[in-house]
Amino acid sequence: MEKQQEETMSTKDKLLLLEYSKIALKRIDGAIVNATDADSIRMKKIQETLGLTHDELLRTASDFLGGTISQ
Amino acid sequence: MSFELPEEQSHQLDPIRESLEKVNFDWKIPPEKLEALVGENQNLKEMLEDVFDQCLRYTKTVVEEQELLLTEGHGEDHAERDKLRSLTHTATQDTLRAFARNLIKSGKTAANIYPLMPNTESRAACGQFALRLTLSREVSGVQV
Repeated sequence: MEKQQEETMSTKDKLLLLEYSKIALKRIDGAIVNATDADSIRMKKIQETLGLTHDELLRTASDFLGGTISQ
Repeated sequence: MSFELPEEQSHQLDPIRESLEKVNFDWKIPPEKLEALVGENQNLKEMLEDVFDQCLRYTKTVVEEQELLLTEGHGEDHAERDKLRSLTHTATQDTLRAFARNLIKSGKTAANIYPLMPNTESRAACGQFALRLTLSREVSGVQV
């Protein structure tokens, strides 16, 4: 998602983005290994809802979260 | 309208093309490049594991803080969460600084280190790096 799209994201979309990130973080943590589990299905659903690929979602999450950094 | 440079002149553009290829327009910080940087040095390998863990911890706190902010707004819970995030941010910067210092001690040059690592004196750059590195680990990991 480009910067402009990110700025116009609704709260609902931002929450979906955060939910996607949380599942991704669980996977990085090694909590999920099976790609067919409920979390993976949920990730697919969020991808469809937001119309973004896995990479695009993570990039958008990185930009969004990075933009919120305060000291 | 288009034109082509004669072949002998086209070669004069090669250094420019090579420079452009070296510029990283990508948002990702490939973890495997950091692993290649530390090589077989056991101490650096352990420090890199700490970097991965600390960056993951920081990313989790940022995500949780933002979720709280979007659902409940600025309140007492958010103030507590923000304090935790700030402490985790400091710990992340310390971890990255120690890692960079040990890379230099082990003989790595700035030219090797800084295309991959942030300026560890910049708090914001360390935070940004932690988020990117962590989410890059998911991109290069299991596909959905």
